[in-house]
Amino acid sequence: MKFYYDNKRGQSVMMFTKGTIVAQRVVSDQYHLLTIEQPDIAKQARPGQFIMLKAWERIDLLLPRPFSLYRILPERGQLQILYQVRGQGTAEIARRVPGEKVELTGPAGNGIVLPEEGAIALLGRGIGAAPLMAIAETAAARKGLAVYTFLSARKTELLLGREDFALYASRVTLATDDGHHNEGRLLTALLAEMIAREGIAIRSVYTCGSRRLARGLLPMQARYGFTAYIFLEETMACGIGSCKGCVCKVREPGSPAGFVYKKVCQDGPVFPVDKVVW
Amino acid sequence: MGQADDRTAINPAARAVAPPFTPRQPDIPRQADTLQQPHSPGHSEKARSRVNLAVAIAGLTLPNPVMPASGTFGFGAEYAPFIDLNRLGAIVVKTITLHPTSGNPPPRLMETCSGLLNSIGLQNPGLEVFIQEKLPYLRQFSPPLIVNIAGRTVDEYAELARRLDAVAGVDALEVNISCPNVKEGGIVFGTVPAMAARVTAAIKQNTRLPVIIKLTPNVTDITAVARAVVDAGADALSLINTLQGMAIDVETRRPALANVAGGLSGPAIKPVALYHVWRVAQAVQVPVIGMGGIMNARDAIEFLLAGASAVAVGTASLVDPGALMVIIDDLENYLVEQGLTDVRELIGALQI
Repeated sequence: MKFYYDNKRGQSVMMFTKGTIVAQRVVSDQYHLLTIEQPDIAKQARPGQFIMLKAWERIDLLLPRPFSLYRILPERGQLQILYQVRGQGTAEIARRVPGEKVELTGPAGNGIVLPEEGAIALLGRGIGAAPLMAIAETAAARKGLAVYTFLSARKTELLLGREDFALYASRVTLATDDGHHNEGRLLTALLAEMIAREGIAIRSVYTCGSRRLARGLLPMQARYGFTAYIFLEETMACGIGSCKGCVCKVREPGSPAGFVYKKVCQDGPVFPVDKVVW
Repeated sequence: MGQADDRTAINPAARAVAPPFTPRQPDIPRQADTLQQPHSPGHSEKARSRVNLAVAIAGLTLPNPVMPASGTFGFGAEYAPFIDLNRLGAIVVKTITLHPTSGNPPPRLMETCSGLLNSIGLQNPGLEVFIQEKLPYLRQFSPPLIVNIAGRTVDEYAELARRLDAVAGVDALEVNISCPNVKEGGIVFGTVPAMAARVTAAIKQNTRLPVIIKLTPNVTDITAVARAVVDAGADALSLINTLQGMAIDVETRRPALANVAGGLSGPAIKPVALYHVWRVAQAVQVPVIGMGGIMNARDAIEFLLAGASAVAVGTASLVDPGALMVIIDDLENYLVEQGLTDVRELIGALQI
């Protein structure tokens, strides 16, 4: 399972530490952007990795919550997470203000391996845009690597990070279910259309936020010659591979059941779409 | 992966004014190489060095009474970036079965109020992989290594015991008897005193290692099971395993866990665990390892006072991977503050 990762865990050290909130901004409705100062993690983290974050001392709310990294800012020693206020944990995080301390574990999980050149596509649905931003920013720093971003949501206000993606992506294509953008068409269809129309050779596709999108990429891989990856999401407890709580089914032809349970935290969180049992 | 599911929320809109978040001391980063420092000020090295933390359990000497709870500590390596494994009272690894076990389908976890429901289903690579791939790593550490085992039949328990007896580096067996007996209608071994005793006797006949039987609280009278396994030769007992529980998603009307029910751990179960430990410690003559919701040193001390000779910490490590170190340090600080010189003075020192 390690073959498609740039597994640098031997060089980087996962740590449990404290960070300081630098900024908390409401992006849209229930969506917030949190900036945390934690230089030790910011220096090591790579796109695809995540942090476990705890920003409360309530004993009724035990576990830290996993968050993908929206932006990694090593030179500023900061991390940004884009999150949706969905439950008690995220409601607590939303109450924290600049200057307050949070606990975090990271960088957790495996970073992705970007091609040196060519083009990649990012397909994000709703909050699924979050981990793709770190990829776009890193990819933009590489000369000769073009990034095509496709974002969808129910309505325009829920298209997250549009302006940020515009800074780093060669192009940002939008679709909203209300038809305001691209008649609400599927991002996979828009990707296929772009490839067919312009002859752009996409090498890798990363998707997050919709299993339907990921499944839609499956038959496109052979046709267009790219490899597609999905960021998986599962309830986590430890985030460091010890509790085996956050598993997903991954194809393993030699195994008795044809699949094995892999840990999203330690073996992922990014998996090739054709390895995942849907 | 956008973020955690966070389905525990019933009313996320309840935005009471929260007090400012103040970090707990000692400060971090807690990495293995920066770990030696958290001796809190106010206690001289001299006072600390006079304190004895070592305890004896089933013929083993533990450098201190604090160990990880099986199932929350993987095979040790997962915690190496965060803690110094050599400072533990013992190392307790996740349950090993005779053959590889794939575990239960997800979702396997659900956080509840002050608790965590899990139904991992004993996912593990099996005995052979454990011996070949995990044990060599674990052998490098000085604390006693306790290997937790589970079987589906009495014969499987016996074989696990026999084969682990023959490998170097294993210091004791902890026996998970909270599994169904597939040969006898799926009745959980640990819920029937006679069945629990049969497992214990079979293991004892196949190993020279100390045998610790881990008791399930999901019984009418835990002391009956405790007495039965001690009579069958158990060298020590550990308790409690998780309490059976469930949670339901009211939107989908489906159980929160794919397995419907799971085991509850965390501070929610501490009073129950403490009560069981207190009762069992009085009912048997062998040492007891207490566990269930221990989050800090004060919790650990409660278990020692109730009669436990050592404690295991589980869910707390999932919350803070450095929790075990903090508990060991704070236990020592407590002894110094109390003017005590030996942690054994606390064991069973409950005043009624």
